[in-house]
Amino acid sequence: MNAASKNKRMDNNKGGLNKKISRRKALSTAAKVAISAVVAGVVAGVGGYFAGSTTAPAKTIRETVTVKETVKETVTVTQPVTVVTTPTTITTPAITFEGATVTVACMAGGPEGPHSSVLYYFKDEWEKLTKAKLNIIEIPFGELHEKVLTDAVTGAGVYDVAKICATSLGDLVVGGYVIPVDDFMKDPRFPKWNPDDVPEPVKRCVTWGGKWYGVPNDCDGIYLYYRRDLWENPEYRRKFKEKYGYELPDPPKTWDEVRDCAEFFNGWDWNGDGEPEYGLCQSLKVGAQAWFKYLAVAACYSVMPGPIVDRYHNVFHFDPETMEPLINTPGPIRGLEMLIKLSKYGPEAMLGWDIGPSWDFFVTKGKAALTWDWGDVPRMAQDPKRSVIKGKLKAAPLPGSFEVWDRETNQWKKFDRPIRCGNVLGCDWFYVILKHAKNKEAAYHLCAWLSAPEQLFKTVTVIWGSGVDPGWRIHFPPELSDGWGTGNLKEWITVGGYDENDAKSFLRAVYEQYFKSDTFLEYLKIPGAPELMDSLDVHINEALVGKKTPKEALDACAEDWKRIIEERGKEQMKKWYQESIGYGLPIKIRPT
Amino acid sequence: MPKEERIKYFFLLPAVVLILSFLIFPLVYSLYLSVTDWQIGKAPEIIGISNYLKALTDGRVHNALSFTLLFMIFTISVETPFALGVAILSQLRFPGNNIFRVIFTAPFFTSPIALSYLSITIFYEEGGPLNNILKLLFGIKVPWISNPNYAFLSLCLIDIWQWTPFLYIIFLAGLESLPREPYEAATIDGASGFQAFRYITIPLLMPVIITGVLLKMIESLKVFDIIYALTGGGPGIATESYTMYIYKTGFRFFRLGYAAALSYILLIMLMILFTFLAFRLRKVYYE
Amino acid sequence: MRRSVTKKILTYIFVILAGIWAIFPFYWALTTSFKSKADVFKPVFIPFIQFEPTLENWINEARLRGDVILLGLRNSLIASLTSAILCVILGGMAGYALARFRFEKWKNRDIITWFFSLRFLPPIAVAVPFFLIFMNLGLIDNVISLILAYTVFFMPFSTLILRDIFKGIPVELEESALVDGCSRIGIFRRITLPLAAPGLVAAFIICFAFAWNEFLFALILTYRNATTIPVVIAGAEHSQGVDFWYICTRSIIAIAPPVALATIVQRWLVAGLTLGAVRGAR
Repeated sequence: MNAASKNKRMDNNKGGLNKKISRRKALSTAAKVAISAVVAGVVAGVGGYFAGSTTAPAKTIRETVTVKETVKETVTVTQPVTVVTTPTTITTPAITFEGATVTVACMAGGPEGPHSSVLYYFKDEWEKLTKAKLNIIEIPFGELHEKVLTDAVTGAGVYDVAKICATSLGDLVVGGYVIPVDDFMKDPRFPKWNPDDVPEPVKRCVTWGGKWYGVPNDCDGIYLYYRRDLWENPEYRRKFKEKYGYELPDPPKTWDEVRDCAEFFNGWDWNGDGEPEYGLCQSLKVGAQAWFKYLAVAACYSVMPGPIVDRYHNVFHFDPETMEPLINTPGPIRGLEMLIKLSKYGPEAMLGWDIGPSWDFFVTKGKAALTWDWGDVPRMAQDPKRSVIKGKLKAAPLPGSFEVWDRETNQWKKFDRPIRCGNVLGCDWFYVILKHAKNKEAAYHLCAWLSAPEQLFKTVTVIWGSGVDPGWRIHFPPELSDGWGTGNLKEWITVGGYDENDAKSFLRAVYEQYFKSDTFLEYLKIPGAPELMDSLDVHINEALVGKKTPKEALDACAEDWKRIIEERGKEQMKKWYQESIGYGLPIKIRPT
Repeated sequence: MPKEERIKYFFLLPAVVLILSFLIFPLVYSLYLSVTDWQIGKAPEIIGISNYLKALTDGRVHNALSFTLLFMIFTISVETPFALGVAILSQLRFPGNNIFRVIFTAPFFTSPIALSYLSITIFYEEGGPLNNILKLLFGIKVPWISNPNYAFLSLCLIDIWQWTPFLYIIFLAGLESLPREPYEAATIDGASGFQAFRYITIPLLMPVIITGVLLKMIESLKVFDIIYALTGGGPGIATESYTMYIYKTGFRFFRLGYAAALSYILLIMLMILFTFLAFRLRKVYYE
Repeated sequence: MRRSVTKKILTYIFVILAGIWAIFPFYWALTTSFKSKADVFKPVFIPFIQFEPTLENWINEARLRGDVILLGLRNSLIASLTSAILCVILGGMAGYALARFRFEKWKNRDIITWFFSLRFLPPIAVAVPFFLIFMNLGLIDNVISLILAYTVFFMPFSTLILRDIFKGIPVELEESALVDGCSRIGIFRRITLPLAAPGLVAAFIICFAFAWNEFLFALILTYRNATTIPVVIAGAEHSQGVDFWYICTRSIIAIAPPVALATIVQRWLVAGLTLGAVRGAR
């Protein structure tokens, strides 16, 4: 072996610096380079071609706006601004910001990403309306919080506006990095959005200490989803009644009922594909969404309804007077126990699932009878290329509980009907204006305009890829919202592409959840919220995999929380917590 | 030879100066941060070594360290012989050798972030390719992600896939640069291929092997990207690496002080480890 | 005779298995990029036989994100090539100094240890200070800041690897040229470097790969203009989950330039291109 290779080496060496390139080698290398170049060229060419052509999505609604311009006065702010009053019914007065640029940071996704799509869709229209420039900067999802915070803390100040998750609000407010928008809201020159059109939980995410720090937009909530075809199957209904002694609940009103349904539909072939299906599926991976899904279950056992936010009512995470963690009180513990019970009726692998595989399992494969998840599921279910359940979806508000843990009396308080905890919010993505924004007025105009009714309706129906969930008054057809909504069901079907029954079921569920619940889960947005939630997430996961009992896991979580609160200064944290939950203020769930 | 004395600085200094000028400030700044408690809304306040003391009792630190160390040992033990074997085989001039080299090197060019996401689909338990093949061949379904032990194995597999080429490239370069004379002498003396390998290749290649292994060890102690998307540190915190915990602490929770302290602890530990190893290997390595 | 045939067969089997092992994830990424979204979580391997391939992911990428991807490629190429070249040049010089000369003030051993220790610090620890430095230099969202950061961070690799390579080159060759009156730099250029070609290429490839795949600094130090491919790939995850199909398309796109580069330079990993005379008369 050595002699042979040695000889070969000698041959190569004889060539010396005259690189002895065999023709075959040269050709093969050249071919590889050529192929790569061709591929790159094709990609570039195709990309260029498509980039050149319109990037707007196919569905566009063109509105003709007739504006009679009457220059009433010229108000000099930081830039000369022309105020016009319009005698038509257009609710948006025109105001221009010549030469201004607003830089918006949002989650990455391009023209069809869940949040970036909205900005790309409206970019041209807004720019034409205000004569300002909109600069969109996308940030990978996992790093949004970090980048916005770094930009603010270091003073780099590149971002003017950011669409953030509510957990980030605490850090930003406390550090003084965002400005309140109350004054802008009163200013008649800017597009009007009605704070009363927004569900109470969403409002509370966006306010701090009574002040508005952002313009609400998304209302992402978790709802219960289940299969219409299974629930309406008379054979299955009969079997269920036989086994459990009561009618198949439609919708399930408590988590115990959900557990029965999940158990009933688990482990046999109910869709005729030859393989057994599962009762439910869920995304329980640590570091992803598991804690949201847990809170959705635990909230109804833990949050006591009441007219105002006081020590024993309408709080979940901490005791507002003592800042003691409440995460290991019997309410949350029972929630975790229920979650563990439920997790037995789905595929084992879901302990490692992020939302992608879970949605795929429910919507694309259709192998789970029920789940509870974000408002994106119905939209995904309408896509014929990705869904086998279009027209087979039923939605309901999250189940409740007949018993809620009463900390005042230290026992379970029984009710004669299930108490529903209004909503567990996701990130409730909304726009904030950063302190370093160069033109705050233009920035506010953008935020307010995007949340004006016309834009909002398009946002949840027309825009392809939009991940914004409904919850505003404009989204609900009046027939599904006790006459309060100002939306239009027909448009959901024709423009949004929804199946009629799916749309009805979903919108009714959203309305009931937001506006007909007994209380709601307050959103933790104090500084340090990410750390607190991370601890909860990790400990829940430990209980799910069986490493700890629910009580042990939540006790450990409470210990962590205590430590974190101490480290950050208990008194300070208490003050912030009280501010963030609107301590002492009345809650107003019913729409006005 | 005074001229030669001076020229060595010409060779060495550009690199050193560049590194120092950019790293001095971060190193000092990090050290400063590590003794402070910096929270949003307040100026950093100096709290002495309490960050370091806290790390000593932080259970999550212990967990992260033990995972990281196990990970490092396991992956190195597999990658080194694997890379060495393939490097030696690569020296044989068999047809397709060049293509093979490129193919085998390619994994190293994969973005770890992309790899992590891609692995979600590959290791997907309910119907990913791995479990599919395993089901066909052996009828089993492996819980690659939802079980702590298998999650560890999945991560090791990914690391081995990606980093063996790293060692492979280094070993290959080393092998190619070996002098030919000893081999010729050995052939004349009638030694077999295996003996030549054992008595010539290994000793001559040892410095390169050691460098490669040390470098890879250091890298694996900083493993982060592949874990980030695939397991997120889970189940629970079973696969949370040390650097991942630093990242979470520093960026998610924005506790830059504590994160800096954790980084320095890693630095100190590695210094100790390295000095210890280098002392043992001095004879082989440092002449 | 028979033994060497068995050896050959075993070698081939091993090589083929290693090849499949190395290539499988790429194959998977490639096929998945041609799958419809519904097929992503299905265990199907072979297009046309097991699933219906579609071009829609690629078309969407080109149509919607084409400009961002091209920008990322461009920035990645500039940053990685430049920093890799700088790493090899500066690191090679430093490695040579450590291999050939003796330093009195700080021992060689200590300097080598120092170079190793530069790798100990996780990038996270220096990310924010780096941001501050570059912010003050006005280089945020500029490729130059990436080039500098990568060079600084990856130079220890090239230094240490090249030091070993240079050590492996017999000193006598250089000394004989010295006696002949050649300058140190001349020796380095004309004798040492050509002999060290495999090592230089190896160091270059490694530094290039590190820079190409580097994520954290690219994330922190850039906003949009200097965005690199890894950040673009990470952008495929959003609040609705991970777009696995785009991960695959982007991974394939991201892997093409390095593999092309490796193909071109791998021939220089072979020692056969060196001066025949140096290795003594054969």
